[in-house]
Amino acid sequence: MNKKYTVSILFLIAALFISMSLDLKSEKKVLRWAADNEGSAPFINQDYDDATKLIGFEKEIADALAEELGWESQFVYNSWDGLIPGLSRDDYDIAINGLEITEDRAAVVTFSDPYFLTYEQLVVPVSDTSTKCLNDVFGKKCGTLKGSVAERFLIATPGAIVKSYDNELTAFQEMQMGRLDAVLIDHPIALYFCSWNKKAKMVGLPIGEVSYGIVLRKTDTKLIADINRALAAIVKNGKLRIILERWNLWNYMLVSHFDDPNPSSVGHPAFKRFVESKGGGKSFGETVQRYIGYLPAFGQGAVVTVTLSILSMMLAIFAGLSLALMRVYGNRVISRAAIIFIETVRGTPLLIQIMIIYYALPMIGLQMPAFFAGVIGLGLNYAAYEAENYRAGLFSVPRGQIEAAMSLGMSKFQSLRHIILPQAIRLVIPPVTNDYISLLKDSSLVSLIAITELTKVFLSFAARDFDFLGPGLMVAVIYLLIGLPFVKLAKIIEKRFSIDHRKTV
Amino acid sequence: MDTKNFIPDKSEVVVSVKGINKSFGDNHILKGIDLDVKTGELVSIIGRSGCGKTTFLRCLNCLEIFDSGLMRIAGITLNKLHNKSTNKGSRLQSRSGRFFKGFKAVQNTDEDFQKKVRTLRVRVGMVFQSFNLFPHLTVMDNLIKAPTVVKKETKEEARTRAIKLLEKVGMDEFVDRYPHELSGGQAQRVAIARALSMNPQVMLYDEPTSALDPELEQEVMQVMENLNKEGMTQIVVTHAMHFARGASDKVVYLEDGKIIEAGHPDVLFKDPKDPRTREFLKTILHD
Repeated sequence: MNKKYTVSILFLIAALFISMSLDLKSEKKVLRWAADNEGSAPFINQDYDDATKLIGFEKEIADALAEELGWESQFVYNSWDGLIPGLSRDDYDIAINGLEITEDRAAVVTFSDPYFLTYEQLVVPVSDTSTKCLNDVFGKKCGTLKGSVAERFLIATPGAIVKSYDNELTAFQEMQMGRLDAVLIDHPIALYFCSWNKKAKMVGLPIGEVSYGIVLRKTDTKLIADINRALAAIVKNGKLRIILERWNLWNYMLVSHFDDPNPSSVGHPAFKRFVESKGGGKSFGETVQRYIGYLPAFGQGAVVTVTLSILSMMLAIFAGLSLALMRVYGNRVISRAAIIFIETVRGTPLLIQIMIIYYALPMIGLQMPAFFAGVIGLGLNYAAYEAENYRAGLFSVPRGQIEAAMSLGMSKFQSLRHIILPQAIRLVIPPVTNDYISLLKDSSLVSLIAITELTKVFLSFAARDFDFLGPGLMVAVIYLLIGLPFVKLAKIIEKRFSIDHRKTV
Repeated sequence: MDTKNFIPDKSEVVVSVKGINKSFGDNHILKGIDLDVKTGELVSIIGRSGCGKTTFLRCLNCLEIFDSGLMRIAGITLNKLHNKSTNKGSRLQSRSGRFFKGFKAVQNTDEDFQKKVRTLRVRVGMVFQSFNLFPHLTVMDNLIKAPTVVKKETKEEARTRAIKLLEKVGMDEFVDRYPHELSGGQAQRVAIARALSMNPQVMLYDEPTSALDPELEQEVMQVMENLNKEGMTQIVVTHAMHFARGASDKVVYLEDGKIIEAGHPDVLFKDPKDPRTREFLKTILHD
């Protein structure tokens, strides 16, 4: 039993440590702003040279706003889809990530004044010389982002066959593979993509008007005033314009909206740096250089993945044992409850369970940091499977064992504790170790809630560099390497315990 | 516990059962069994397979709870009036009975009955056909587990006695072995020592040599004969007729859930009164 206590204490310490590190706040007021760094340039992504740093015009705007307010700027990662629902979790106060101001969204959140205006841009393959404007897409397959303003334009375009995607990268890839004829998308995305990809080009005039706003909780009336005041200030002192110019995003709409016709001389250094980062890396040596650059971030992701999966497995082992005991020895109600839990968990997708724990539970007042939600989601899911392992283990201890124990005067509990459980646990160690390896792989699902583990790191590199091959192979190898020791361990344990049980005595 | 001051007295009746009945569903296994066993006696129960002899032995240790009748064993009296919750019990039993037949007995009964059952089991040792040693424990730990857990003895106390018991069965050189490292005869001798570790007044054996090769039978039988000489009360369900005949103080022939004949082995084997006994002995001794 001592070992068990040690393990549970370790678990608690780890949990405390993690929740503390998430709660570390300085005295200074903090502007907690959220974005998804998995997007492509120019919004927000990892620096080309140092993947632990973030760059992007929205990061610069967030920092400028914080500076204007005299607060500390703090980035909070959140997946793009979850930016608006995530506001209710109170992990961050504002989200700034190319969120177009639309009526649908304005119904659930408050938008700040626009910080950026742009338009939709048509992108076609270079080889296509006939498509000149949106009217030419009649009968053609056009891709765009799901739920975007561009999507609505396309739907309103006669004859356009609309295909919607979760992210722009997929849309562009589909076009390159010939499955799409054109992509209609916000101008900054088109501009950055076409700046380095020689197979795509922008055609036609600006279409429509899109404005990006910062989103806040509807209840934060004080904060919205602060944000709008700070925004007005950086418009007035020219900081916003300089940021946008550096990123080559200053356009005629902004000139009239901010009433700022004065040209500046900063040029487009950030844009140029992006183009250079794409222009480089073509040669083999430079590609290798780039891949080596991924390693520190992959290392951090691996640490998160391993920690997460070990904690989840501990939870799964203890909760699974409790569930099995409840199911086998509990009275009618307890046993039924355990069965319902086990069958529900085994019968529903892990992804949905994680989503419910992370997004739905806060709605009924049960809120936890993303890492916790991940551990609990994975842990409880695997607990259901472990429970069945334990149950099988309990059943495979011969009946004569319990009879022998009871014939020596042991109570039900004593025979369970001293005779049955030790044998059952030996029997289930090999399958449990194998399950740990599956859990390690399933932990990639928590990349969907704001946890930067291996898969998340991979996805953000792939999106930033438009490269799935290199990072994909790297992340696969890393998972393999992490899992290998446990595969080995499972084999050793299996061998050892099978010898012990060779003869039933 | 009165085990320490227990003085063997060959005239004292230590096991007394009256009108024991037991059914499994519609299958009436024991049909009113009466038996008295005196202190220090070695009683062999013989009979065809399925005659109920094993069920009867298991009832004596409450691994099965009899349906009606009266049992007085080693100072514990159990009669069917104690068990009022049969209906409730049978429902529970249907679910968990799949797993632990042994638990069923306990679940069947109220708390008072349960307590008595546990005291009874401490005073009555049981040896199984398939040994049922605990495979995850060494020979030593097999012997000291129950005394330390049930009687709360210290490990030292329990160990000291365990060594003596292992010497008695000739297994004292195997203290650190695991059960899978032992031969069948060795395992059964350890199982006897394990049952003795609780200081029982009565020992029950359920076909203790059936799983053993003939040449290993003898080492187990020798242990039982030695215990008989020391005055241990023993009830043995057995197919080994030479043992029943040569070592028992009394032989009981069971057929169809009833005791057909009981008596001294010399009398029962040489001159059985009942034709059914005669028929049985004829078939079995001819094989």
